Amino acid sequence: MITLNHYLVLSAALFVMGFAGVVLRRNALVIFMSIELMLNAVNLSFVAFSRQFGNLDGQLASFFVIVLAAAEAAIGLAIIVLVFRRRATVQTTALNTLRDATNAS
Amino acid sequence: MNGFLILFYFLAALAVISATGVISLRHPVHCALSLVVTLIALAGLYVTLQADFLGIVQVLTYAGAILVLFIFIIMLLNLQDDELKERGYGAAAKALLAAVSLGLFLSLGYLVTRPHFPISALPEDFGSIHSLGKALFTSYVIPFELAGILLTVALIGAVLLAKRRLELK
Repeated sequence: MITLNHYLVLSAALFVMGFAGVVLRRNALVIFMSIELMLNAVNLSFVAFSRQFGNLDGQLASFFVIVLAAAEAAIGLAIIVLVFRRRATVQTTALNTLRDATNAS
Repeated sequence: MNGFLILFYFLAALAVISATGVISLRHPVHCALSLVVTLIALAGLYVTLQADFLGIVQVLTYAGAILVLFIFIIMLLNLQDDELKERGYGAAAKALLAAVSLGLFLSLGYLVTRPHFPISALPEDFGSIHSLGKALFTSYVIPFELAGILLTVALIGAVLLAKRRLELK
């Protein structure tokens, strides 16, 4: 018997993997993909709860999350392209202009 | 019912394995292709939750539009080999962060499985395009319009960012 908990644990696993990708990786593109992974994990929770409660609100919330993800991907990738044109890198470690100069390593 | 369980485990394993690929593969194109597999597995899971239309939208917009955008940008940047090497954390810091992630997963998993949520009977047309559209254009009409404004702003912003001329150094 498949229960809500199955979906919630899977959602937690995917969310944490997205989190791990954001903190471990240094490639801005991969960090973006990890953020998409986290958004999708949350969507899965929304849809699972929607099914559990017999209420469509969760599914509609997922639609809005997808809209948000589309907007975020468009703007974020445009910013990455601009950063690449200026710095010729997508490594987030290279973007330290605002760092405190006395602590720079 | 057992068939559903097998389907769930298959899709869940597919999603988790390809998500591992997203965060561990070196080349961004491979990451993006793994992400496509994750998103399609999630679309299948939505269908098992009787959110058929959402599953279709997931494949169309996520696996279709957003990932094509990602892959297009990766091709456009044409990253060279030394650019793909990840500079930054050493092995110890990576192990620590992985342990933090594992702890986060265990606590999240514990928290979400604690409460018991009663299962409710489904309405007749649950998850159909008809009921979704009706909800979207009645009780959710303001968020719907706001989402339209958000997309317009994102479109204008992306065009403005892309058009900006940089002085070449």
